[in-house]
Amino acid sequence: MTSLYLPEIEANPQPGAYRTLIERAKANGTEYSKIWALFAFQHDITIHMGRFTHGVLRQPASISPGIRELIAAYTSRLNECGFCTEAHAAAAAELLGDRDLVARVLRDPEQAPLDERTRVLLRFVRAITTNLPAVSGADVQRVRAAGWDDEAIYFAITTCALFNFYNRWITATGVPQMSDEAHREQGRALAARGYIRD
Amino acid sequence: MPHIALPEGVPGIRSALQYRPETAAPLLQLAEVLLRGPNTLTSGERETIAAFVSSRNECRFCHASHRAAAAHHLDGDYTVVDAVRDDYESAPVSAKLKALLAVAAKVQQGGTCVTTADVERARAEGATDVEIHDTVLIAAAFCMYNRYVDGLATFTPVDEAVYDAMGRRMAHQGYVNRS
Repeated sequence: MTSLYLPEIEANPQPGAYRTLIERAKANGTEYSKIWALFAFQHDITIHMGRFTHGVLRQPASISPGIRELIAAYTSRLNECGFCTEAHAAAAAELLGDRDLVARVLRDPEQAPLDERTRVLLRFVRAITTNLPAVSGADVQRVRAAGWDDEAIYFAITTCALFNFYNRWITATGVPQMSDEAHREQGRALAARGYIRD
Repeated sequence: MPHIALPEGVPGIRSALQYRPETAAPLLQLAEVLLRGPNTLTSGERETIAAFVSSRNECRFCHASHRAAAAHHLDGDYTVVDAVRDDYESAPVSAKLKALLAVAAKVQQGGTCVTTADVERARAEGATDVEIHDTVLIAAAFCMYNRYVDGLATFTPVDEAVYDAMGRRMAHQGYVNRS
């Protein structure tokens, strides 16, 4: 497996759930997610990220966890983060029960067989990701007119914002994309148990 | 006007946090450890990176508040943080911090923009892998905070004195233990 760009980080996992996961994977000779090395390195910081991520993607709200995972995957695609795109595409596919739909959305949401309200929402996500200073109330009004309430819009913005963080952290530190099989396996785990591991 | 029905009159990120405190509480704890936790980069340097990235993202609230926090780590002196915003390569900061700001500038554009040369420059100026990592982490985190605050169009005060007082609290009391 490819190493991270910052070897000191990968060489110093702190005791905790992530180090245990890494050690187990190494012992079994199985492919594992290198984001675990980032989470294991500074546990006092990453514990808050795990909790925030779980709340943003799973807390009950008027927008489903499946659509939030789709937003996570689409944001990651726009930011060219291969690892996050595949990880959250797999989770979205599990939660939405439609792998083909997720793949088509990531290729081009305008051409994908989506309902119009989700398409409008993804256009908004694109605007926040690629041109934040230009986002205005008119953009939000279009999302609301498509049938999303304030709670859904809050979670959509927050998911998009969160992945603008992860995508940068992950690509700048060199977390590699895994095999399709490993991502599919991880997607099942994320769909079933979420993001808290402390 | 905020884009969604956030608490009225509460500035910036705090209104979004009040809208969904259970989701958002970890965001403040994250700010506390990122910007004020034990680190070989000073809190002033870390707040300067936060203000710099927020300025590049044109997030007025985050820029003004973290600019003030950076200044209050230097006894209220705004010249360094403003010089970094205007042109960090000529700002009165260490060569190491300049190299780390160059990494932060790339992270703001996108994680894929950071090159081996950027990382090598930071190492050559004496930055450790941990410091390079923490710079990436702070810059990436502000690409999140800025979108959270501006995507929701939270209330942005215009009075500079409001930010100066806010920055003083952020620098000296922090983000979590607020009176």
